[in-house]
Amino acid sequence: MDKKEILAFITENPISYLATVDGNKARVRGMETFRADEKGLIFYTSKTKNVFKQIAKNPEVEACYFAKGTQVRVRGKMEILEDPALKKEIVDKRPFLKPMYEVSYGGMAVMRLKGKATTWSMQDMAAPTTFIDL
Amino acid sequence: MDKKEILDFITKNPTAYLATVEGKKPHVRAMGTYRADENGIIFSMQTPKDVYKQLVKNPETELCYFANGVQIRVSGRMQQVTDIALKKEITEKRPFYKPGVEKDGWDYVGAFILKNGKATVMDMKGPPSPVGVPKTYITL
Repeated sequence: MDKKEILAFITENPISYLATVDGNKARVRGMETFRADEKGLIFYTSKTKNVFKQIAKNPEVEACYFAKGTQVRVRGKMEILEDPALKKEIVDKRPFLKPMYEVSYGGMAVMRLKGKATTWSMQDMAAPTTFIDL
Repeated sequence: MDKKEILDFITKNPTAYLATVEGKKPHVRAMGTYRADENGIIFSMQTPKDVYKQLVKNPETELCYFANGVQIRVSGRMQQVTDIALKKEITEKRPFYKPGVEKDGWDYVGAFILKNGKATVMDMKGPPSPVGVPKTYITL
């Protein structure tokens, strides 16, 4: 898969399993990818969540996507964005977030991952691991 | 969900997203759970793999399972299993290990068990968990 195909795969299968580090311990949870394009992968959460606190302390992450026998892993440093227009866009498109942020977007966290991707598929399990900059 | 329900859920939905730490960097990949019962949660992999090397060096792990709107996360320390009988049993069920075993012997098969893992359940079908309320954990 090339960069364009990887971004299309993530767009079609936006549930990532996002791993972070807490001290020396691994953490992982399902997270929606809001957008995946040339500018990076965009995630959102609440600043009260452990995942945000872990990333603020150690921005190294890995996101794993899996669908139809294909796995995509993206690793790199997460960047915390304070972009009010992007926060508003996310809340507009995810109405369940509205009650949390109708007073202020201050507690909302938006993050971007510009990482390296590696793909694996059940059809070609022995293929060597290569990385593509997203 | 209680302990038994969690183990049943994992048995029925065995794809784990298994997170490890390498130095200060996290890694995560999908892995099939070999078995989940009262004794623990068992995984296997080929020992040349990075996940094996990472777990040997730092056994702290977290597993994430997701199905039908329910997410279960299990954290704890993996213990290496060197039992040849288990490695033989695993290789019967995962025959793609066979060429490696023929070449390198049973050292080719890596196995780990997560005992007394701490599980936390989130059901997306229910109301969102209130902010600031600590998660509850069940020891498996």
